[in-house]
Amino acid sequence: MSYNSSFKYIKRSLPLFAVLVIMFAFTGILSPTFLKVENMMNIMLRLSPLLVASCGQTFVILLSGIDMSLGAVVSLTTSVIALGSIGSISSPILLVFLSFALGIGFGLLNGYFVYKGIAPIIMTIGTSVIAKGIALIIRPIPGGMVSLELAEFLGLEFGGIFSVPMIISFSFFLFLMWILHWTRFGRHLYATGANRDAAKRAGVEVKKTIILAYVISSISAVVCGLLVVGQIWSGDALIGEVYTMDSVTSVLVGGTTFTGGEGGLLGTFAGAFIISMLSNILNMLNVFSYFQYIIKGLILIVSIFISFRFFSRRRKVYE
Amino acid sequence: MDKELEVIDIHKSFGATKALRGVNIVLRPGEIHALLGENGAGKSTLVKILAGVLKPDAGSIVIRGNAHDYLDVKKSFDYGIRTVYQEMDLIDDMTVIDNLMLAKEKTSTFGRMKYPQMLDEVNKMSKLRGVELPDLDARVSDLDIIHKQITAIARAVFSGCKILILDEPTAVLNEVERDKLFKIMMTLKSQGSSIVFISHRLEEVFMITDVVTVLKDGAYVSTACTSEMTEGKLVELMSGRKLSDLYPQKNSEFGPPVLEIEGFSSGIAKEVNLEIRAKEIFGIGGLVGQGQEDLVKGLIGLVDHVGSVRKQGRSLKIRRIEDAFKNSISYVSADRKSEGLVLCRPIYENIILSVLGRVSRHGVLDRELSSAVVNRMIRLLSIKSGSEKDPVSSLSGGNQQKVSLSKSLALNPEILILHEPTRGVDIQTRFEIYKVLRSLVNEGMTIIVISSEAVELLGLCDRIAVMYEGQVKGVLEGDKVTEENLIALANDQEVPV
Repeated sequence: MSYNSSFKYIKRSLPLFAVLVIMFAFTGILSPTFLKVENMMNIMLRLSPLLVASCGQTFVILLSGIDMSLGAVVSLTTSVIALGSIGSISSPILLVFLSFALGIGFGLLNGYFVYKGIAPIIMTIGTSVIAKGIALIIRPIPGGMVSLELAEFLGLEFGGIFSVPMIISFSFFLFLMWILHWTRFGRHLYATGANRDAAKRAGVEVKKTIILAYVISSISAVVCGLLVVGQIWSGDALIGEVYTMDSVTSVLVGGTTFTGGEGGLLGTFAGAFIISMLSNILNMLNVFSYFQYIIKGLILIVSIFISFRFFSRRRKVYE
Repeated sequence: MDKELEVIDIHKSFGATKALRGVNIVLRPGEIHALLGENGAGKSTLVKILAGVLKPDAGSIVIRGNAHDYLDVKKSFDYGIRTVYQEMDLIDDMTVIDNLMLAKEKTSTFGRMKYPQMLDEVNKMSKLRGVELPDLDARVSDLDIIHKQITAIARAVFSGCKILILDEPTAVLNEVERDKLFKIMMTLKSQGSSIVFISHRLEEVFMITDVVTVLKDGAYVSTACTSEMTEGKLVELMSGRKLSDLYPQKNSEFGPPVLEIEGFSSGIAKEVNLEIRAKEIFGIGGLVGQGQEDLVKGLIGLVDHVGSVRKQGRSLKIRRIEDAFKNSISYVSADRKSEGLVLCRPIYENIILSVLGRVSRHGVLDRELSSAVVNRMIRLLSIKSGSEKDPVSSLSGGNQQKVSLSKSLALNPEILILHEPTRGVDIQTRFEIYKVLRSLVNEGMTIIVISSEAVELLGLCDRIAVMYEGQVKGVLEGDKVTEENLIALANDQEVPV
């Protein structure tokens, strides 16, 4: 056993990786193209934005919250980047900065009012509608001008197996992993999620912790949005919505529970991998895309059920 | 320095309720000071004022010669006042060391946790303060209750504690664990810390404290050396009632056997044979965790069981708690807050909760039927509240327990099983509950009581089954119902018959 409280969660998520390996092997046998390098690159490309979004979502779910505005901020980011220029200045760097500023703004808004007592699901649905409104104003129909340098950079591949999205998302994951599991803020996040009153009485700055968690979630939405731009080379005020539910599903499949204070990022990594592979597998098996929604919804419900039933500290011993 | 802390004529009101009316306390260095009073006497209000959470309306607090009108949380902390609440305030899923150092973590410039340094600090403090800690890498959820308590106390004393306030620390401990806690308290005392000790168990007050202060209805009653007090006198001061009057007269005649249990095993309870009669209060005692709880939870279908249960000669099949209800067996949980009551809902709703079917017509709640039940219960148990529409959470602990009890009584059960019926309940309310229980038994009900308090079992019950490691070691009856016999059986010794 280790002194660091998080290690239990890191260990607990190991079985999920076994599930991943089984999925690989199974699909590899069913479909010979699956294990080809091109398809692996394709899976990585799909995984990257979802991994980033799910990492952020993990932070708020650990506080027994949820970030329903994540997808809208993803869309907003693509719309802002696709402006191409602000007035006469056409600088992709400036647009990236603007996206982060907007994202952090939404994160602060979410965090502050959730701290003040508004139910996270209500608060973040509220901000998601606002973000969607802004995105639709600046980009009513998909399209726009994405700076070619930025788009090409975000799609760069090299060495045959590496790509920029993969590197961005994996470094982002490792960075948040470090924050969550090795720093003081991480300890405070777990403590606040598990028992807010006790954490407060122990001297934890609960307000700062909650706000920061929502800001991290919004920042990851912006990074996710940039990766999406790298795939579609344009802006789309609705494209990000899928990331809200997919990130929540990944987090729950990864073993983080809605009751707060339990779970971790390694599980989320496996969860995001499983969800994005699932889409790929279903495509390879020629499952009609509307059916895929049904399957994903079922997986979400089953994983919530499992997380309440078997993993929650607050489960009832008897019923 | 003569006085560590002096509280002078403190007043505090909440709306029209006067919680404290002129309380005085003097706490000296190295003193263990018992703070006694029934529920609602003002103990917790006083504790909150000392912790800086509440601001008094009038009066002053003098700490080491510095006078203050009130303390805020920071000032209280800076003066070394530390409070360990009943809930203990630990994060269950974190390791002991993470809990001890919560919000005091040692980190690098970038915020990375430095465990070696934190371990050094904790080990140093543990030696200095003489507190023996559980494994630092253990998770709090894996600890037993005493080690949780030790962790909570350690967190308080490791950060410059001079005045330690312990709010009912022994309520959930057994005797062995309690002695461990007392040892830590004595060490702290010998190092010059002052301790305020709150407990409902008077025997402990005599075991550990030097001075005792009694509060009643928010008013200061008296302070005296513990050695000059007797248990009877303390009860009189707290409740205005004599100790000998606490328990009602026992029965001498009983009815036929109502519940016959044979070869019954559930959880850690093994091969239990018992015969429980009508018109008796039957106690189940022993050290904590010897299978008492598993036995009754098995009886009412909350825990799987094997063996035979016959009620009035008829064999029962109880798989779930609904089966127990159908057979007129009702259960009152020890944990009223999480298993007994819906705290945020009105009193009357809680009372009719288990009889909703009986007070409804075609699925619609019948006002007359339900208010008849509610009024009967409020009268029977003399539940004191502003209005029956107030939420249960607005009631004192004693009255909450009465509501919890009335919820089960509303079913008119033939057999009532009570688990710790007076936990966290003041003496006045205990008296009332005991009286009601006795009158119910006289009217023909059978009552089974599990209690960890020997005094309560001895005073209340006609017969007591004593359990040890899951087995019934013996059943005390008549003049064999004595403390010596109870303790002997509870510790697996023989008792002369």
